[in-house]
Amino acid sequence: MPNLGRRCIKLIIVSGHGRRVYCEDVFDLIDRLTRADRFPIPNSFLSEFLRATGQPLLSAVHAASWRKSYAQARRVDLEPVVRVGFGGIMPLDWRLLDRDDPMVSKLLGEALELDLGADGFSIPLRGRSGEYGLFSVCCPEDASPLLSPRHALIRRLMAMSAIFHSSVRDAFTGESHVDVRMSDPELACLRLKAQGTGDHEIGVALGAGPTAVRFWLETARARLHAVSVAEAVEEACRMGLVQVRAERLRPAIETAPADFSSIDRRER
Amino acid sequence: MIALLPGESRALFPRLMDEMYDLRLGAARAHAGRPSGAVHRLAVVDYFDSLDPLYVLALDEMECVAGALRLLPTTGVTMLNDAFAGALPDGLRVESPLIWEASRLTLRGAGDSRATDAAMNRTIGQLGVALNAIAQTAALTHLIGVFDRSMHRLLSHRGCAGETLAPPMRIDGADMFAVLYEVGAAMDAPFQTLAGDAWAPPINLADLERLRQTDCRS
Repeated sequence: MPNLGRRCIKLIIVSGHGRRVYCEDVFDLIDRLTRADRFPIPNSFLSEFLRATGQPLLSAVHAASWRKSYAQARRVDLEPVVRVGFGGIMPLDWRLLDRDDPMVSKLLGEALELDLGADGFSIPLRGRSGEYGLFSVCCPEDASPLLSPRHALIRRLMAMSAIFHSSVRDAFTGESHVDVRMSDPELACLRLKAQGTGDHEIGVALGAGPTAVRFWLETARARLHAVSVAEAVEEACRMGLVQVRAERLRPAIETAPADFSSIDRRER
Repeated sequence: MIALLPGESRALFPRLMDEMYDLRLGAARAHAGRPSGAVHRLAVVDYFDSLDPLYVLALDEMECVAGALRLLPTTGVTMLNDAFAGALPDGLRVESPLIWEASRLTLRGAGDSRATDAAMNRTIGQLGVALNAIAQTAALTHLIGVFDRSMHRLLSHRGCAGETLAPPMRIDGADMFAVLYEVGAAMDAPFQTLAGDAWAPPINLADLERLRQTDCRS
């Protein structure tokens, strides 16, 4: 399960006995996965699915015996996480699965036998080409307290899943990893944020409300593949998208453009 | 009552879907100046309905649809990004997993002077509170509303039109407005006032159907 620190997000897999068996930076993992060779899996429901959709498969870790039984039992139609995940857009908290449902308890039992966690989240993904995806994170039930607070964790996972998805998509299409084209409102909000200006003051400076300011900061965060607005500001500075002056709040407002067209295009 | 219907499960609830499309049809017919093609049934079911959105339905005491809208994540295909490309600053897409789009808001009695304000207020309030609750559950930061002029006017008159995000856009002869809501208490308050005590947590119809099937099996 991910340990969601600020600068570095680690993917840590813990065995059922609490022993750490795997640890890697999530973004290193994403980079590695997007560069990985892709092998279609023969004789499985996944290969049928991929053939039907014309998409290559990134990687798969299930044993052949598992895939065979999964396909034979048509569990892709029955598995609650897959069914809800592909059919909906709401994040799925596994705690809310009906564990009295025979199918759910059977699947969770098999997952435990394979040392997979029985608690977790699944995040449905939708892509700009109309593609669907499902990003799941699981952990043993005895590690569930680590999944709190749920709201903040879901938000982090939503951000991470979208970064993962776009990284995979870009790897397939050969596009650049991060879309550095930013809109004028995004650049203006990032620049003022980098100067330490509050949302309300940024709104005053730009003639917008704080709701709109936080909206443009969020779209900028997503565009920069950052997991938080603070990281997006750092990333924008590092990439030279915005240049920060030493002055703080007052100068920030006084020097803010009356309209976005006056922003130096070199900052974009 | 608010019911959530994932698009994937729409075939299980044909009556509710028919009622929702009929509301859209009524709104299209009432819209002065809309091209005549828009009054046909097929014209009110658009491409975005094929993307399995999450439908939010306000049901009355008889469990008939009194209002509806649909939700789509902005990481995927949306009206704002794909039908109105270019309306946003620098023509860049709005794409964030924490921002969803609400569109095709439709209300029973909209455009009908005989409809009571109280019923309309209750439906708008219920839908708005449900939207905020759904968005909080999904840990979203913002919702974008893409509404036609009549819905935008209805919301504006009730003080819950959101913040303007882009200039009005035009499609099929209708003006469309993109507005912004920030998820949280500030969004909740005006809708809660309209909903009054008619608010109850949304019910997921797909979950209900699965429960029914489980009961049948056992």
